[in-house]
Amino acid sequence: MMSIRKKVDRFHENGILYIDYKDVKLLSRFITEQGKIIPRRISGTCAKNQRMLVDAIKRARYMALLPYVSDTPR
Amino acid sequence: MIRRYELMVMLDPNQNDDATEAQLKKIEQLITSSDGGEIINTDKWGKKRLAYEVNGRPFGFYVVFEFMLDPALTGELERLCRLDALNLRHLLLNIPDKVIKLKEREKQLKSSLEERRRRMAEEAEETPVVDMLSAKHGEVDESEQGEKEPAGEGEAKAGAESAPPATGSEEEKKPAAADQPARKPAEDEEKEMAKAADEGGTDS
Repeated sequence: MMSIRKKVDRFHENGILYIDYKDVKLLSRFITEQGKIIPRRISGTCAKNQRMLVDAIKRARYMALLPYVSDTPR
Repeated sequence: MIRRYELMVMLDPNQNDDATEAQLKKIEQLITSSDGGEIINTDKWGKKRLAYEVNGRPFGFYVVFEFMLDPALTGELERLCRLDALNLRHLLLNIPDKVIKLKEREKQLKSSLEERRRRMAEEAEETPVVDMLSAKHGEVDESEQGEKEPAGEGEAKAGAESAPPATGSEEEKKPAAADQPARKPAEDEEKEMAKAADEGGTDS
């Protein structure tokens, strides 16, 4: 079931055109418990949005809105 | 030339309010006193827990400014932020017109999506009534229909020329009845997929 699931870009689905680094709630869904960015092969995000997402996550990390690394899941 | 910028600063949360205000005033003054400088929006997020400690502090006081400024003055603004020892972090971003347009389009898109979802939900609320009825009476009927339909279609096509009135009336009824229950499972599947996608994002 999981393997045949069609990949969907969740930004397309929810009508998100610009990924803002201030939207921590949204961004936190695209990082693992350790704080790693989830690759698009898993999340299904399209290339364009993944690039924008990565920029946003890195900005959020710099402002300490998101962790660079974290072992303790929140 | 004037450009639109966004500046986020993270201040020391332990200082008193007056000191914080003074820091913010300095930034505001630099922007408003310049030619064409204008503050569009100031958003005080307040004290927030940090994702990691910055200078040994577990909390930060966030403020976001949106403003128009002459690009020549960005260096000055950066310097002001950097020299302020109690300004822990700052991030100055240019907001291109493209992004503003995108944000506007996003609002429209979101509202239209919301409307479509609401309509779908309303339809979903209406359909169960029909489903219940067809499920109660139609358990046997459905299986019969499933077996008959392909044969019936073949007959209809073959018999279209020879005897249209007899098969035609039967054909009209069947698709209408089969249509309603068929639509509902598709909607459920969609919801499940969305749910699964959400979970997939959080656990792995």
